[in-house]
Amino acid sequence: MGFWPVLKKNFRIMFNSKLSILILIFGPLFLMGIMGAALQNNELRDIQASVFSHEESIDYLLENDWYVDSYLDQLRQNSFIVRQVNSINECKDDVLNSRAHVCIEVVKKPPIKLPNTKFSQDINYETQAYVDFSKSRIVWGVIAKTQAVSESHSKVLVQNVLVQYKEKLEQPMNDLRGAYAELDNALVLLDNIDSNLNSAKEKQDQLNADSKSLNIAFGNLKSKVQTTVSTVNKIAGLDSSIYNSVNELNTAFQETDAKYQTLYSKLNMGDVLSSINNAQSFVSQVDGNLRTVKNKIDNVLEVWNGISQMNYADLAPLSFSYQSVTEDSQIKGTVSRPRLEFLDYLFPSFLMFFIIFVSLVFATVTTFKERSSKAHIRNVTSRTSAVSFILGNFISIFFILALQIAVILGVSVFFLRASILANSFPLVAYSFIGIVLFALLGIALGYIFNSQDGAVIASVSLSLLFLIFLPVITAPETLPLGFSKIVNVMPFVILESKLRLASIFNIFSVPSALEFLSLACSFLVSVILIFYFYYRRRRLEI
Amino acid sequence: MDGVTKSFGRKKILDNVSFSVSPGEVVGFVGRSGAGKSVLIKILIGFYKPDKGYVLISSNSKDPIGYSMQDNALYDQLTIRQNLHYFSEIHKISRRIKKERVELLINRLNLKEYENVLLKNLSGGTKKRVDVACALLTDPEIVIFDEPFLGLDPMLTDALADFIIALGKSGKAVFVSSHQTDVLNKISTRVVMLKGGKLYAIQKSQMREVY
Repeated sequence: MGFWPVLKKNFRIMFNSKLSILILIFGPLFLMGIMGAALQNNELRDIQASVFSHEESIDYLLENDWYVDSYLDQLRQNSFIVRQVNSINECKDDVLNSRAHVCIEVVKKPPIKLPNTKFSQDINYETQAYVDFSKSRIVWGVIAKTQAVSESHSKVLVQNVLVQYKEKLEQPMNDLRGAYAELDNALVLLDNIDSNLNSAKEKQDQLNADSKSLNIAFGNLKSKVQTTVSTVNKIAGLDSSIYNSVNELNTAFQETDAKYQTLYSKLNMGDVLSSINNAQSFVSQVDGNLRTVKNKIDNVLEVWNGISQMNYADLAPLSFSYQSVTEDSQIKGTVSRPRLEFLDYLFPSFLMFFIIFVSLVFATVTTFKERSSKAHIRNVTSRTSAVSFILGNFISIFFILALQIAVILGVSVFFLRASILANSFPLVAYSFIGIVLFALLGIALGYIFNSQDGAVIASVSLSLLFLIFLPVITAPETLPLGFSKIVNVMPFVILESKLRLASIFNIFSVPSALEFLSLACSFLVSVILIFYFYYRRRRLEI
Repeated sequence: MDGVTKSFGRKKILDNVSFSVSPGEVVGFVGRSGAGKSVLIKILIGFYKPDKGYVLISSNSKDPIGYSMQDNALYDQLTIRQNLHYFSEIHKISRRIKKERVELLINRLNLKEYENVLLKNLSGGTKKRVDVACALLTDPEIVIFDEPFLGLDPMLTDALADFIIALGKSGKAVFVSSHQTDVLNKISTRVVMLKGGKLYAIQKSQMREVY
């Protein structure tokens, strides 16, 4: 940990200067602010677009040609000068021969099953943009604008489809809601009937009891009457008027008894009870069935509710992707995120340029200032090793630059549409690799040159050279083949492309063996240069 | 130092220079500008290597030499205390000793008042005292001063001269390079002069004449 005092000293020096802190934090903010303000409203106009549309499968005939027509209208409304062509080759040729900035291929695809829903989406198109990366100054703008039109059109169309779905389903759903109310009413009435039937059963039981009591009372009455008649008839010598009146009573009672027997048979209502029980059973069954129907209606209404709450986010956007018009190029990508602006496409290059420029210049100046400081003699003659000093200075430079990159990435969250935070790991990882490589190179420059002016000019020139070969300025396709192969494996190009893949396309691309070798070699060369020139300079000093 | 020769390009700065300093001695070192005094001092502190000859130091300490340079080898953007702490740490002085020694030197050189002030905001005299404090951080047996009185007012010059005398009396071997012959006359026990790459022992009274 011999580097620890050096690290502490460097940070103390920095924190003792308010200006350094201000530059450290507000420098990147200032740069981002200027860049954001300058580029956020960057609009390309009069983009020449050749459009070729076709069906991917013969099962899907040209019934949806209106989509292509409305898409072309949309393009025209957004400053595109549109030319429809008959083949993809003609379309690509237009780009290759500079007759068009972009060739747009529209392919109709089969319906797509919507995730998290029970529906499939009929309208499913894929839009592929072919661009010429040699026109690198505008190519990202063209891609951004084409993507913007495609996605806004996709949004409008898909939303229309959704509205139509909803409108078509509205009437039957209203009818169903009416049926639901009737069904509730029927269930209430069934409940009443069931309760009435229960009441009838209770009355029937009471009737049976009363009938039995009546029968007993009537039997007693009959017995008394018959005993009286029989007794009176056996008594001789009585006045005939008694016989007559008893016989009249007996006759009247016999008639009453006959009527009573009929009544008694009528009061025996076993059939009525069976009917009531039977009816109750049916009432219960109908109630059960109605409740099943009610559940089914509930299900239908729930599904409908799901449909009515669906929004654009639930629908599958019509996909947009782009690729180079030259077949040998490996530049291609898909964009399935919110519409990106020109600034989003430029951001990885800006970030890489910032890393190159600031790392190189800052490391060079810091190293030169350290080695030419008055305290250098004490450092050299102290018991701390040269490695510790170099490491301490490198770590200080790394932390300061990392802080600046963190500020830029933090601010970018507000400036960019691309979600930096969603894919922060590769962005941070490749930014840090860039800082390490270019800070080491800067430190080497700080030791190589004899004067501070020479060192600064060298670091600025080198960063400008790297800037010129960044793909955003000079597309590799435009360079002679051998040269472009070399440029493609230069660390700044590798890192810039990795940053682009991470920030725009959410791809964490691991370096290939060749790329890894290039990064490792750059690291080693810088370290060797640092130690070689450090000790060479010490030898010259002594 | 025995038979030390040092050249830069074709120009021979030191030619077979030999001398010795004993504990308790304060050796004055004079010579005209460009004579090679600073080169000799840088060879003594180990910054330059001699082309020939050697410097032999009889000491058990790992850091036997402390030095104060003409233009104060300090960080202007650090405070006095931060400078002293940093130079203690790169000399690998233990935390406890560092704390004691920094405190002692701050008090002894009357720096307490400014200890938390950035060096760039201090006067030349105060900076010189901080540089002297740095020279003594490792409690060295040999202390070398290169033009310590340059730019100091008479009061500060006297105070520093007294301090150097006290260092000598405490048993340290002190080597002082200066153009101020009257101060050297006051503080040194003997004087050597560098002329034409050779080192000569001279009488203190001869100092003005050799210029």
